[in-house]
Amino acid sequence: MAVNNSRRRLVSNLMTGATLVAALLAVIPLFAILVHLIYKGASSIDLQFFIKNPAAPGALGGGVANAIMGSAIIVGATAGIALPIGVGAGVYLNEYGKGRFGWMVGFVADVMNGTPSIIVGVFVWTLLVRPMGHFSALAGSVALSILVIPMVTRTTEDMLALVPNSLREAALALGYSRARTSLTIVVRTAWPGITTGILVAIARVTGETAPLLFTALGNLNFKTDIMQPMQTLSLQVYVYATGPFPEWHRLAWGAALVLVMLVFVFGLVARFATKTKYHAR
Amino acid sequence: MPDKIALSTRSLTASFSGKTAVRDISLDFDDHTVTAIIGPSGCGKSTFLRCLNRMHELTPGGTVTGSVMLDGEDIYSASSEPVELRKKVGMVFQKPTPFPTMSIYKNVAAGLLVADKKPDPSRETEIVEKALRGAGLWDEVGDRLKSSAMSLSGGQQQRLCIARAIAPEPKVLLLDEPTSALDPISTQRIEELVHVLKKDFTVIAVTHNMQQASRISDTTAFFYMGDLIEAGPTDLLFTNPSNSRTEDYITGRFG
Repeated sequence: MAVNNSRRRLVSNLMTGATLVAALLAVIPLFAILVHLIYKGASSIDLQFFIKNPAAPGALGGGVANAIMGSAIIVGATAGIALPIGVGAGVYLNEYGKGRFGWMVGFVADVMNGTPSIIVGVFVWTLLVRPMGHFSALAGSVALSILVIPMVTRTTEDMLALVPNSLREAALALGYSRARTSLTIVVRTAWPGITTGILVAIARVTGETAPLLFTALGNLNFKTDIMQPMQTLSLQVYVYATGPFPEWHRLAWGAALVLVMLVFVFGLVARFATKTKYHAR
Repeated sequence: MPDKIALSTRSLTASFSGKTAVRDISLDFDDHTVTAIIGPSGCGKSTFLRCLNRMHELTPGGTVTGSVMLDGEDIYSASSEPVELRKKVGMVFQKPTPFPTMSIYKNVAAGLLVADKKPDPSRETEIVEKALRGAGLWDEVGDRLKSSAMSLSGGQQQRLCIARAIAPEPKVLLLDEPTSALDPISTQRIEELVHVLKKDFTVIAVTHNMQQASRISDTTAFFYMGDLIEAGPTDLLFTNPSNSRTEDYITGRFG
């Protein structure tokens, strides 16, 4: 008995240790990236970095104001296009679309979720950029929307599926119509989870570069016209990091740090939104 | 006032995907009385109850034939709207189902939002208080109406659901095993409440607990395997049942 017990304790400790090592291995690259980014990028970040546009190639100084503005516009427009469609499709799939059509929409969403983003970029280039004759921020937003919609559709559907059916019945028994039940009871109840899904999806595409190369293209000037080519932080990192000048490399680290911080903030907000609502008292 | 019929079913048959769950039930429910529906698990008592506010047809494969008369109209006629009907026939479920995103107050007012005549805010406050008093919950929550409904205990949540169901002043109140998920003290409170509720409503309660049926009801109906075996005044049915299967069930020989 005693032998068995000590053996069991040993195995238990070994397994606990193994999972701890796995957990450490999982977070080490993340911390390494973050530390390296701060080390290389933090020195570039000052007020000038946020309010100035890029300097002429080869010249010193300059900032990424145009890229920050561009990211905000392109991601904002993406949210405007993709969120109503994504959330709406998710509500349809879970609340109404249990037939063959619903299955098809769900299947397409899954396939789209796995589509490489560069292919989406090429697709939108053919669909919008070629016919319009020029690159545009709008085309970039459409490309990012195609990436966001299936993600949001699936999370919305999953979150609504977690709402117990007894809640739907309780609302219907009060004389609520199905539409009213779906929107004011079911979606409201699942909203914290849906918000998290939305923020994760938006955070993911904020860092997308490949689909924007074919659509928004990039721009060294400060632009707010959505029909014109526009810079984003991710494109800025790409251009500066692959450019020949050490000054550009320095700015690329700075832009990368700002980008990561932005995504980090999205993540924090997502966590916060879920926490406070679910445990409301 | 008694003896006036509030609700009656005629040849009511309900099935799930062709499998009959309740067969040919004709039963009258007197105004301002409590009727208990008893029977072993799977006898169709809940299905029958869910036919009375047209909830059964929401279950995939659920179909209903026959008629249910309320206010001189068949609720299953083509012109009857289930959404309108459910405003007149309130329901409380087995497990408490407060809306988790809403405060105590909003929960009680939830049914008023779809009322034919939406009350103005001050009238709404009065109705909410009246409903909470009616459900015996006011003394416990009157000072924290803005708290989340989820902060209440299970028994309080169930009384909140009763308040929510009675706030729009339905004619009939359906209770589907309202105490089976509750502790004995909460159960007792709800049983006492049922006696008060019948002053204003016609109550139809499904229960698998025979003692509870005998305590709360004026009339009892015994269901067995989808059939109505016997219905009558509660004291008579429990002391002198006319059908041997009823007798077997209430004396605990099966079920």
